[in-house]
Amino acid sequence: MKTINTNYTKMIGYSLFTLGLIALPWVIDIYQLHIMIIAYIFVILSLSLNLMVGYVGQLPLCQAAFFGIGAYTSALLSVKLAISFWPCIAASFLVSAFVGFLIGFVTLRLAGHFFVLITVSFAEIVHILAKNLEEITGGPTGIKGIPAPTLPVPFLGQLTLDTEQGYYYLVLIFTALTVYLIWRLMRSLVGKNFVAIRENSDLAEAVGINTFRYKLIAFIISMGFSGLAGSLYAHYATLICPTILSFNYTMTPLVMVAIGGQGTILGPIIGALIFTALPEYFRLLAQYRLVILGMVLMVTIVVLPRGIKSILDKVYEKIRKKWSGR
Amino acid sequence: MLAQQIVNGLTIGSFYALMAIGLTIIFGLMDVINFAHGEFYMLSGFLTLLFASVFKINWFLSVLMAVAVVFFFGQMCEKLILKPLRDASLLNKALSMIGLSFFLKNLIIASVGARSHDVVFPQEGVRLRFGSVLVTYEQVWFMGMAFLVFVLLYVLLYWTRRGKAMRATFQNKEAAALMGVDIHKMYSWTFGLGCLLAAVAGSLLGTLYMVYPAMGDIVIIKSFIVAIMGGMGSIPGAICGGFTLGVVESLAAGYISSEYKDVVGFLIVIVLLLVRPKGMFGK
Repeated sequence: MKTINTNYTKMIGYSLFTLGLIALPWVIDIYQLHIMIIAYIFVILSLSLNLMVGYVGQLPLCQAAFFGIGAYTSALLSVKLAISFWPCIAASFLVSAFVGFLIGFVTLRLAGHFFVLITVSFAEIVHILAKNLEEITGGPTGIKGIPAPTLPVPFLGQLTLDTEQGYYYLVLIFTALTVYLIWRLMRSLVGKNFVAIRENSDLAEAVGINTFRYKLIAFIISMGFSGLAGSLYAHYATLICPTILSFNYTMTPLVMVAIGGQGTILGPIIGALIFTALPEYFRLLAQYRLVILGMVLMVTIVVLPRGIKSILDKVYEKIRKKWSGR
Repeated sequence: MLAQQIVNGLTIGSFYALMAIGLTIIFGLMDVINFAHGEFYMLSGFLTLLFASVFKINWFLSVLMAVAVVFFFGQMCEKLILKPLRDASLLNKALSMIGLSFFLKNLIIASVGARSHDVVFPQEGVRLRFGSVLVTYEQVWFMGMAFLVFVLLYVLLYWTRRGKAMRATFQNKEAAALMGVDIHKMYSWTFGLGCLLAAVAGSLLGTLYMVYPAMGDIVIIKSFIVAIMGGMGSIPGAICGGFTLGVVESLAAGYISSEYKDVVGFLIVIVLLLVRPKGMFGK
């Protein structure tokens, strides 16, 4: 009886939450909507990073590169070849995943630190290339005029998602899809193997898990989603330049994951929402934003290594105990 | 042309080597990838600028002071951040160092600004000619100083008691601790020493080129590449790797294109990892 009851309340909770997310564009203004769109893009980024950092226990420092590869793929295809949004975003995912495969194939066989160092060097190289290959990437000025996505709607023809409201729903769907897929992945055997590798790589190998293969799978998926986030960003911002390849875009998701809670689904989402929204409301501190970001990362790792999620869990446990005690 | 490129490559290579030795000893002893290495390098450049150009102190004295300050600052960082993380994973240690790096770099940008500054060297612009090779006076001095540091490091590690304790901790932490080595002290010493090496490179290269907050960004990537080339944890490897990368880059800049010289090192390291994953001197 009791389990049915809790399931029932849970379902109501989830439905209300979903309705809230859908109703959001009517409640908040355009500026806040813009922040939400960026926050969702960072949710995808930090969830995909968390797959490596939180579940497999490897540290890839090339999110910016893959975010950029996704964005540039989408931008180049849509601007130079006039391909529509949907093939573009698929291509972004696939190209990023393929590059991820190449990098992972060389480095994931080796000890963890090689992976960290090669990925960070790779990100820097991509940054340099994007700045210098002017014929392809447009050099420091980047690519302008990336078209907004269009959606074929029956009876209405093509619907162009060039408003914040329209784009909000598009990003919401992609974010929900990412959350769902990663949640499913982590409940599958593949996901359990990831955690086994994180907990004890040698033991995992001994019980027959091909650690290299699973690390590679995680990395490919992780970088594919980063590319997807890049594509979403490119079509929203309509212009991109090499700044999106700078280390800041690797750093921000890292902080979000570390603060939110490594190795959980909810943690990175909370981290991403907090760390996109908060800086906007502390405009006075804009100059010190990155200083604070660094400070926060340092302090969290030392003081609260399991992130905000661990505090939430404790609070939840306490409330639950009180309720069941009555 | 060829000789000139090689000489230039050796000059820059000696600094890559200095940086990479710092990284490699910190990694070898503590399992920490020091992402803040580039920031210690940058801090030292700024301190040299402060002492030499603002306070008008003698340049050599300024370098010594800058290096000493960074040494103690490095030890302080180790005690505050890395000591509580002794048993943490490689990942969390690396994350804390990324945080430190971001904090320091952006603190300097926020307080001093992102502009470049020139440190005045006493004998700037004097050139020497050996056959067809043209070398600036600065280059000769700085290469000499880099070599002096290599020698001093050798003396420290092999001729002193502290060096012996350090090497012992390097080989086996538990055994060293049982023999009465204060390994916590060794950790903070080694971290400080690594930062000191970065600081020497920062002071000298900052004077040779320019001092600016992001100056560590590209240099740290280079020292990562060098440290991997040499095999993480190997000092001779780091020295050889540094000179190799310096010369190769300089040749690539001369004969291929200067924009893509930074890519060459990365390609070398990828090929090396495919062929010989443990690096040139790895065990």
